[in-house]
Parts: sequence; structure tokens; C-alpha cells
Amino acid sequence: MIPEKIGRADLPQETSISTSDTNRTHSLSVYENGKVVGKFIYDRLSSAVSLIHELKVLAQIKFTQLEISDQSASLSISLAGSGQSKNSCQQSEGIKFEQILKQLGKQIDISRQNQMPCTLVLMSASIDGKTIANHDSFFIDLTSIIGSVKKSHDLLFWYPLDFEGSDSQNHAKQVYNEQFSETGFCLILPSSGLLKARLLIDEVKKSLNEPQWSHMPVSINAGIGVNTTNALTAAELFAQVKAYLSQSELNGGKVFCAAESSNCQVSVEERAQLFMISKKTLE
Amino acid sequence: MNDTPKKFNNHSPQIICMSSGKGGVGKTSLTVNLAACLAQQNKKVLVVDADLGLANVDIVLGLNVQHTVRETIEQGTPLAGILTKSHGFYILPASSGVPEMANLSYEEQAYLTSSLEQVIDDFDYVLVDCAAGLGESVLWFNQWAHSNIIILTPDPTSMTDAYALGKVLATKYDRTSFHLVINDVKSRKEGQEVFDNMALVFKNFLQIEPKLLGIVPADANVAQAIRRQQPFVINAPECKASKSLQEMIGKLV
Repeated sequence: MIPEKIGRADLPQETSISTSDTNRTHSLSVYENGKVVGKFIYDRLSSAVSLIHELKVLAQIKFTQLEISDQSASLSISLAGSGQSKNSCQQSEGIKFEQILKQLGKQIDISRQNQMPCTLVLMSASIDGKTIANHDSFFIDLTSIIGSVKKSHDLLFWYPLDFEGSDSQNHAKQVYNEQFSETGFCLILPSSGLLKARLLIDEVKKSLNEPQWSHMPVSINAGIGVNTTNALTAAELFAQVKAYLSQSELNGGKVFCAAESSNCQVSVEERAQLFMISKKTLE
Repeated sequence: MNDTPKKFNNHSPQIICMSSGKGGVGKTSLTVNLAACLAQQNKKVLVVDADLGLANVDIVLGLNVQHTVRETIEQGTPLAGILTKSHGFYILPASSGVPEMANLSYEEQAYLTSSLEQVIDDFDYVLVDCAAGLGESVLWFNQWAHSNIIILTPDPTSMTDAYALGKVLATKYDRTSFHLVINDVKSRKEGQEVFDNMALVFKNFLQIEPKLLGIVPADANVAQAIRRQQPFVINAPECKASKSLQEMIGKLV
């Protein structure tokens, strides 16, 4: 679903987009100078991301800001473009980042109630040692890849790697008066543990081994943090994982994470019930 | 590196992980006998000995293997060249007395399952005979498989360990569907009581409802077949244990 957030004022004057929803599929039409230059049908968020990128290449259209959302996740994409002031762009990114921490806190709470872990993954990508940012077309491709391997209930955001993260809202707003490029991927995996996060990262790396990317020496860096039932706040978890990501970047993309603590111990009550049958059979 | 075997069918096999928590409850014996039963029904079966450092599958089958999965991990030898055939099904043998194989790193485990995925398409069923305990490899193979069978006997240690294994798989790996096999029981009634109690504990504490795959009676023919290093479904096809396995196959196929 292309939300109403795409304002025509955001696009170069000669382009426009129209959308329609029919039976759970979505269509995206792109016009240039009043003529249709592309029409696409998609039914998944990740498909939409891929299609937007293909659109960009096909029609040589540069969007200034595009946001796609579905029922379970929101994905913000800022593509290379002109015509949008930096201030408005930064303000929306700053709001998004507070939302990231809020979402993380919310998912931690929900997971805690269900006695499940909640995992945070921070990722970055570099080519020839240089971290790529959101204005790079490969960043969009990588977004599409991550979108296609994550589960529908996993949340994916962009965020600026330079941001330290803080509990203080005032600090967050102050920091966002400065300029940051979004160069990192933030994945929140509710009710998932360390292994699932590692498998997801492996899937991303596997996708990048395909022939179309073989000419690019891409390095994926990642840090993983798992919040079990009574451990960290959102900001604490974020700071921990950010530190792991930094270690990953310094160590050739090796994934860094904390050891996962166990909350699977068989309780006294469980054992008592298990042993009831043994006592009965001995009688 | 990998010689992809000739493909007979373009489909994915059913990967079934056999684990227990406690050792010595009959995992290996049940695994190879299930494989033999499936092979008798013209299914193409691969048994993966996932007790990577203390191999048992080759022993219960009386095999003298020359190559093991260790060569794949350490030297990159294609898995297809290591497979051995016996009693109508294929075996991927593990090594004996190699502690490093029992403690593979995440990357080595990923490499192993990735190598397995390149050979398993030729098979209808892949039965993974896990090691005892809750080690990384046990959990890894369980999360890799499509189905999880937990084997237990009526004694309290086996029941507790089986429950603990199920709890870890449910809590950490989102496994919410298990099949239980109650092995070495004095009577069908005993087996049913054990299953009913296990099911109650799973349901009360984990909100999971396991399914009963089978109850295997204590049978002297089983021990005799193991000593003879043959599957008991071949050594004594009419014994009670063999008949219970035939019933299980009916549910699996």
C-alpha cells in the first residue's frame, strides 16, 4: 500500500504516482510528463521495495522520499533525489528514530509478557571498506533483500549509525538537529532468539553471493542482542548491540553478540507433575 | 567442491529429527529401524548420524566405514562420496572419539547443513539421529528439521530430559509441534499413561499439545538384534517391537 505520505510536492514536477488496492494486491503506476512509464503489481512489502528500485532504474525517476507500510511493519526508504529540504528530511528521521526505540520497547514488553526473547539486530554494509548510506542504490537493494528474508512480524528500519541512542527524549531531539545519513539497518525480531537472528543474517549474506552481486566486494557487519524476560531496556539493548556492530565493523564482518541466557529451566512445579506418573506406575 | 547427485525427483525430502535429551533410550535403534521400514516401502531414506563425535549408527548396522562426515567438515570432501548404503537405505556416518566434532562452531554447523541440503533432494526421508543432551548440535539439527520426534522411556530421568528438550525447542526455537515415542514399556497401558502425563505437562506449562507417534514394547528381540548388529525389523520382523514400528510408519507416510 503506498500511503498518502507521498506528497506530490515531494516529487519532481514531471512525475506522479497513483495507486490502487484490489483484492490484497497493490498496484503502482508511474507517470512522467503525463504518460504512463511503468505499472507494477505487487503483494508483498519486499516486492514493493524491489519494484520501486526497478522503477527508478527503468524510468530514471528520482524520488525524494517514499514510505511504504503494511500491517505488520513499516519501512522507510529515502532515495536519491532533489527538491526536498534537508531540515524536513532530518525532522522526519529524528521522529522515526524515537519511534524505533519506542517500538523496540513495546516489543520487549510484549515478549516479556509471553516469556519469549526479543532480539535486536543492527547491520551495516560496506563496499571496499566504505560504509554505504541511504543515498546509494545498493542500500535500496540491500533493504529489499533484508525485507525478503525477514518474517512478516519482524520490524525493519533505517537508522543513522552515528546516533548513540539515549533514554533521554531531549537528547534525541537535540542530536537530530545535526545532520546524519541513514547508514544502518535496525531489525527487531519479536519472540525470536539468537539463532534466528544469525540465520537471517546468513540468508542476507547468501543472497549477496548470487551472481548479480558477485562483482561487488560487499561486507555485511552485524551485531545481535537478545533481551530475555527480565534484562534490558530498549535504550540499553540498543547501546549494547551498537557496540557489537562496531566490533563487527572492525573485525571484517564477523557477527558479534552476547551469549544467550537461558530461561528454559524445568521448574519445581513441572518436575512435580512429571514425577506423578512415575510414582503411579511403581504402585 | 560438491558433486550434486543425479536428481530423481525435484522435491524436498521430509527431514525428521530424532532426539531424546537422555541417552540410552533407543534413539539410534529406533532411527535405523524406522529407516529400514521406510526402505521396505520403497522409500529413499538417508540416516544422518548426528552424534558427530561418538558415532553409533554404523555400529548398530555392523558397518565398517572408511569415510565420515569429519572429512567434509575438515577437508571439504563432498558428502555424496561419503554416503554408505545398508539394509536398503543410505547412511551419513559420523566419527568416533573425536571431541572437536561434538563441538562444532556455528559456521561449521551451518556449513554441514548447507552441504546436506545439496544431497538430500534425492531422498524421500532424512532421519537425523541426534546426540544425547542439549548441546548445540542437537538444537541445531532440531531447528533444521521439518519434524521433531522425542523418544523417551517411562523412567523419571528420561521423562524430565525429554520435557526439558521440548521446552528448550519451544521456548528458543519456536517449535510447537512434537511427536513423542514411548519406548521400552511393559505394556501399552503404561505407554499411554506416560504419554498422557507428558502431554498434560506440555499443555499446562508450554501450551503445546504433542502427538503420540508410537509406543514400543520392551522386547528381548531388540537387544538381540543390536548384538547381532542388525535392525530388529529385519532380524525379527514378527516381534512386538517390529509391529509397533510398522504402525508408526503408517502415521509417518
